[in-house]
Amino acid sequence: MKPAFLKRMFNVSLFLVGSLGHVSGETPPSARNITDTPFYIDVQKDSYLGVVGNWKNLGQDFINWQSNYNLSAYVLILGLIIGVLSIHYLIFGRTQIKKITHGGKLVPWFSLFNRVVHWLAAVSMSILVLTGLHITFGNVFGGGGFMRFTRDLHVIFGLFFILPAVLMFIMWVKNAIIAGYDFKWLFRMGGYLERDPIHLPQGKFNAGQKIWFWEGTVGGAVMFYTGYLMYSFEATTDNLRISAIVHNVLGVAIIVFFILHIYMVIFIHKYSMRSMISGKKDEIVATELHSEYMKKVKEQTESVAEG
Amino acid sequence: MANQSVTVPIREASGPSSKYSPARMRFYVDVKRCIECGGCEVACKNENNVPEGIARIRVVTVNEGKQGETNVAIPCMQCSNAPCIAVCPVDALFNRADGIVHVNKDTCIGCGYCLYACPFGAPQFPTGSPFGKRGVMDKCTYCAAGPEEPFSAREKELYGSNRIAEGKLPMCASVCATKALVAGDGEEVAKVVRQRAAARGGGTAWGWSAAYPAGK
Repeated sequence: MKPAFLKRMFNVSLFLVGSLGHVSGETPPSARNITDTPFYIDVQKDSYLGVVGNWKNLGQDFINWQSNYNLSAYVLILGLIIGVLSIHYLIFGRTQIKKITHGGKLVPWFSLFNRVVHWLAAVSMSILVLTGLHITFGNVFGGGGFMRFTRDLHVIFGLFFILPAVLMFIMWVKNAIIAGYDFKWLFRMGGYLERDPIHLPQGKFNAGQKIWFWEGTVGGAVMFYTGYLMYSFEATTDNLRISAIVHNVLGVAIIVFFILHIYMVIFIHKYSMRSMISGKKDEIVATELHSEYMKKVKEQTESVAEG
Repeated sequence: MANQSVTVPIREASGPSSKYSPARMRFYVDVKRCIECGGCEVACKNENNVPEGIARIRVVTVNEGKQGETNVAIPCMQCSNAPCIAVCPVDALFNRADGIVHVNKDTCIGCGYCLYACPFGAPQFPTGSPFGKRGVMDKCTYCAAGPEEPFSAREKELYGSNRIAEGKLPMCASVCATKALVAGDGEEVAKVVRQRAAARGGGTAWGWSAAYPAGK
């Protein structure tokens, strides 16, 4: 009798304390937690699974990636590459450029066709990168009509990019095949992290440029295909989720090399811009930097002369 | 622009802990009652002037013509912690205080991520523009329209009718002939679910398993 009475009194006192606490701290209805009612999806889970298929597996992965990691990955990787390049410019920026001698005669380097294709690809790639970043950071820029326009631009230039990408693949694929000396170049990061720039052997393109080539053409094809799926919805929901993740991950990888490529020509190899505009390169620079390619050219001209 | 100071349905307190709290609006689709009449689909399209090609609610039949055939009407289920809100890159989607999920059509860019995340296939995208270009996302609004001035012409044009602000329930649930589609405050809906489950005797006295016992 007695313990039961005590227990009841204890409950009443708890109730009083609880209600007092509520009266003193009145919260507006809208501020209260509304998520504590049961989920009806659980009541009839089996029928829904029959309708929507096994939604949970990839759906959960996609939601996790998109809501927790996608933006953080972009901020982290873009911040990292910009930070690393700024530090690189402060430390090596001036020393590396002075050591390269100029003043030799000019040799033809890029044909007119090469240059036109390159600049078509450059313009469309720049627009793709800018509009893609605009959409990725949509919550910062706020969506709306202007972003619908940039999304249309992204689609249009994604289509247009096929033309220069295919032409570029055909004209440079023989120069972009990975050779043995490229691993040496990669191992020393092309000598860009050393105070005295030594000119590691390289072909017409160095290993970094080769990676950028493969990323831009083959990676571009993957970007085009996943983007097409997401635009047209012509796939199962699971494949659309995979497409979205692949598009975003490959996108940030392409942007990293896009930034690297522009940094190199603006801050390190300033003279390189000339070869992509006029098509001619300084002969001393060509023989020092692109030693393997010049060797090959010399052999070819000799064999032609002999023949 | 967005006017979110809409009055939301309020429920009276059931316990000592609160005087009033916002109602938590929910749908319940009774798969044992739905007879696939399609009344909800027609009522929704008529009430909200839904564009062609968009189904804000649709009736899906599982195991058609076989034992255990089940019909289920699927609107937007107005999730708490909704996946579409989590993945939207422009934060166009949000939960109202009463749990209804709204899409702001001025912000939405029609990227389709909400469709990849939604377990119910609720997000709809109007097609028919040149080159198959998608419009902004359209979905079941729980007949609560969207983040616009209530009863304005713009709200009507963008989102459809606002029956919740009039104190009425969604049109689909109102017309459901067998009361398979139940809408309302979560606590009230839960009572209906419990009553029906009790009346069926735990699933053995009614339905397919009772009418067609295994092995017969």
